[in-house]
Amino acid sequence: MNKKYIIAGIVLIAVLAGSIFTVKVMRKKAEPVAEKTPFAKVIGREDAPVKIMEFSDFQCPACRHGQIAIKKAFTDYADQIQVTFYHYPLAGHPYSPPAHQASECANRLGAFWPYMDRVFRDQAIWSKLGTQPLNTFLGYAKELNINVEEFVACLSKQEVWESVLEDKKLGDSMDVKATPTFFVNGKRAVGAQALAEEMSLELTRVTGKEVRIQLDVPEAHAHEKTQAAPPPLPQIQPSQGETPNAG
Amino acid sequence: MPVNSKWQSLFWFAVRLFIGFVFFYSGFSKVMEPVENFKAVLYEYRLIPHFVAPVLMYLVPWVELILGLFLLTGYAPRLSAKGAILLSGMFVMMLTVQYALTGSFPSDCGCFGEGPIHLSGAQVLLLDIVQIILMTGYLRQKSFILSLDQYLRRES
Repeated sequence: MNKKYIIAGIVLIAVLAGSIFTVKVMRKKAEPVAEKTPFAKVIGREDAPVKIMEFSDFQCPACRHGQIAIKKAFTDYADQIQVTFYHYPLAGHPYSPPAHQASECANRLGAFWPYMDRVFRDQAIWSKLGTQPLNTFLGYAKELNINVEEFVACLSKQEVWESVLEDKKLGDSMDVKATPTFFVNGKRAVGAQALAEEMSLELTRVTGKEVRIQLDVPEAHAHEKTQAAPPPLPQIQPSQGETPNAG
Repeated sequence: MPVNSKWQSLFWFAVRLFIGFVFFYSGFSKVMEPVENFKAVLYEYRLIPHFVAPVLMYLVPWVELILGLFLLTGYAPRLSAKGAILLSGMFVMMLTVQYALTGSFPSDCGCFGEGPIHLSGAQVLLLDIVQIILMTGYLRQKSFILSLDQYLRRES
């Protein structure tokens, strides 16, 4: 290879790197600010040094594994962690919209976290029902002693679904492309494994001792990809033929 | 070395562009996204040790991009073809080991970032094998038409 040949190669790579850099700079969005809304879904102390933003989809199995990581961290470091949940229903998950709508209703009735746990716990059951699992979600509300009348009334509110979409919009503005995506003190982590690693690093930093949050589920490495828009919210008719309270 | 007919040359030119585009698009779609997304993809492959993922998440997309650009422009065609064979061979190995260990391919290979093209593990395995075969054939060519290589050699 002569000198001219090598220079041509270097120029090609330099032009490529320059173009990519320019496109990235042009596409860079202003840092979004997550404002605390009246119905923010927050758990943990306000002054906790490790703040986690979670963008999850209730029908995504990888998101369920994300909960395992968070629970493990909460078991030993409850004082150090605060989690804010954001809805991020994915397009490929047909039962995700009612799950998010129902959980948002539970949120407004003061029971988001236990409801979320319940929805994730039986995810494998309701996501394979074959019909919209509205009765199942209603059953979970009954189990958790949520006021059923208010819950049902809430399910039909367009405003609730809009707030779900607001969360998703915030995720989009933060370049969320897959679920679960977390921001641990602002640092992005995609998937449960990455979350466990990032939380370990941050907890090690704030506690001054080595912290290792380990996941024993091999599928914890998985994540799911987003597509353009979530499926539309089905008509809320909880009495339609589905297996009642499949959980 | 066989002497290329006009049609043969055109065929291999098209092959070079096709494979160049695949690599370029694959690298570009990853480079434009947050690197953590590709890290999550790498974590799904059992063959890749976790400590290597933070390096690979930066390295692989850029190697794909550069290989793709070299193939599209026809710069250093033999070297690029060998690189493409090596990279595709590594992907084949990763997918095969994944299948051997888990009994299934990943539902999405993660090869093209989070963009509109989603190939299953089995589909991308096939694509990689086809690429290896085509690039091996490409390496046997005597000259590379409409390439930067041809231009630079003529100039010198």
